[in-house]
Amino acid sequence: MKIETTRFGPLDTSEDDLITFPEGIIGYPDRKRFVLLQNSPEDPFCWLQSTEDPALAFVVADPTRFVPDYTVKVPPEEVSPISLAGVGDARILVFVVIPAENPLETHLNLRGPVVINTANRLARQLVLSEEYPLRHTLVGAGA
Amino acid sequence: MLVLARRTGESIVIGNDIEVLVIEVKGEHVKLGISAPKSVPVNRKEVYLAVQQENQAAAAASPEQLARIKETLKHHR
Repeated sequence: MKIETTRFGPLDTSEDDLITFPEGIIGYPDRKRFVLLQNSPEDPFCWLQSTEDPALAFVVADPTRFVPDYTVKVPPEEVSPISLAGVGDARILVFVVIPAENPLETHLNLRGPVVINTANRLARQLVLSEEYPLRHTLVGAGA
Repeated sequence: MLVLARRTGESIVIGNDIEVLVIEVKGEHVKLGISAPKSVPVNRKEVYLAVQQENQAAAAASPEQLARIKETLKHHR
């Protein structure tokens, strides 16, 4: 299928690559279908591109590449909307904020991770407790 | 917005499986007990808004900005 994007131009993606957020993403309840654009498996960063809104794409990252001991602990019911059966099927991504005026303040939102069930490609953004920082700065954090 | 008056120990029911109970009222502070299915996210609004704001900020980046921060990170490792 062809999708339009403002950042990357027209893209050809497979239906199999679609990730569905049944409840949308916090702040974007109407955007439910996304694709992950990743340069290479070595690249910790990728783009979560909406297939419904060409201009909507989030920078996301594999948190364990920067915070090796990062784990998401939630009751099983929190991931029941995406039918997650076991940890083995879960892929965790976090949002990356690159402040335009001060890129050295680039940070990961460790409080609101995205959990993707790789078995059925359903995903959900969680809101964790306050012990998880909303802003984990990358530069100078021993990353 | 629907406005309902409740006393301590009274509650309201939303749908079939959500209950909001007034546990304690002390001056300006209200302690609420919320029973809802675990699949229903319950958050303090300021926490929810903070995550929403971070999401919006994460959607503002350009590929050029990401490329630049990757370079910066290389030099800081």
